[in-house]
Amino acid sequence: MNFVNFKCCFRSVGFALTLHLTACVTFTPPAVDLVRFVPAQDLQRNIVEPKVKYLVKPDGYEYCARITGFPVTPTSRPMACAFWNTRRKECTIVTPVETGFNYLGHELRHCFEGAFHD
Amino acid sequence: MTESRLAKSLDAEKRRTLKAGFWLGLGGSVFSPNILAENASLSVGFLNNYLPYSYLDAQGRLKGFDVDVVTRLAEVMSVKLDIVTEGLAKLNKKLKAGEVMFIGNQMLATADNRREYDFVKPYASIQLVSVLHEDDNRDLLSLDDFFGKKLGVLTGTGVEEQAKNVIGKSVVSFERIEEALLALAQKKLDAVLEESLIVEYFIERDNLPIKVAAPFAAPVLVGLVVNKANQAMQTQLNQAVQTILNDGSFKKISLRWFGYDVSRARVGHSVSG
Repeated sequence: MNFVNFKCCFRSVGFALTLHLTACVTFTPPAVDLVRFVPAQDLQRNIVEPKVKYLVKPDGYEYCARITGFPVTPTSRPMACAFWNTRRKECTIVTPVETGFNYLGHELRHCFEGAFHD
Repeated sequence: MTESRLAKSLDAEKRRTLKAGFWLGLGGSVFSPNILAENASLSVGFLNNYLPYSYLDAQGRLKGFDVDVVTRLAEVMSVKLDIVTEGLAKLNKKLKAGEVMFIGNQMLATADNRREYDFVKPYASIQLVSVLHEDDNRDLLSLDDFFGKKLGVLTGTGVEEQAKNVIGKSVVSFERIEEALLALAQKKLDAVLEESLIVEYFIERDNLPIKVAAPFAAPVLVGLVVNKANQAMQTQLNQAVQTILNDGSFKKISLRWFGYDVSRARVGHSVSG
């Protein structure tokens, strides 16, 4: 499985000397993405055969924060999100421009199984 | 849509009042903490004009999603319902006077409301959503996407204020949300912003060629509340809510009113940290 690491760097400039401070945070995938799972049977699925749309947004983190309520912070952020219309059997996955297999897979599982965690 | 249907719907003024009441709090009464005995009578207040949650039909019978949920909860608790229907102000007085045990309409589990009440286990998730014509496949995900487009909103709400601040004159305000949804169905608007369950109800009831599209805010859990001093009632209701979520009866009620199980949010996420 290919995970994407995101790093942030902060630089500070002093009076007499230039001081480089580098604070790096590696975002690790949620635990639910690190284990194998048994997909729900048709009767247990939220949508058995969803029509899936995939949107890549430059503001993907912020967008997902807004619609899920999980904020973007220096140490955590929503890496992807999905929303669905059960009656119409439609599901939309949103990620930022850079993502990973696990995030896309995680959201695809939402399309079939609805809110399967939290 | 007929005039009589419109007349029964909740107009903007009542929605504003209801919201204000929720935020200001309805509490203040003190109940003695007693467990309800089997076949005891449980006095519950409902708003009489709050589609689709509780309203009087043409024959004057109380109907609604919240009514069905509370009726099922009463069955689970083996108590008889003594239903009181009023407007918000009178229900508030009855609650304070101890004439009703709780208000049967769901409330938003906000921080302010949590300070006023103890929440029973939430049973529904609602969300501010965009509504588009069913022929419309545009991805309109934020208010910025509505620049120059006609966006219908309910007048006198925070949504109206925010939308007007961002996109200005192309926001079209309506006294009743059904009028906005009808205008959208007739392609006189590009979209409507409204709470998800209300929209799902009107789509189903009026067979409108429109659809719930993208969420515009995080989902909010809603549920019944009891007064702070009434922990026994809270415990009993918690158990009853858990029972109807587990035994499938809540899902049946939910499907009947909204076409899907509203106990779970319709958004998912993958959070890394």
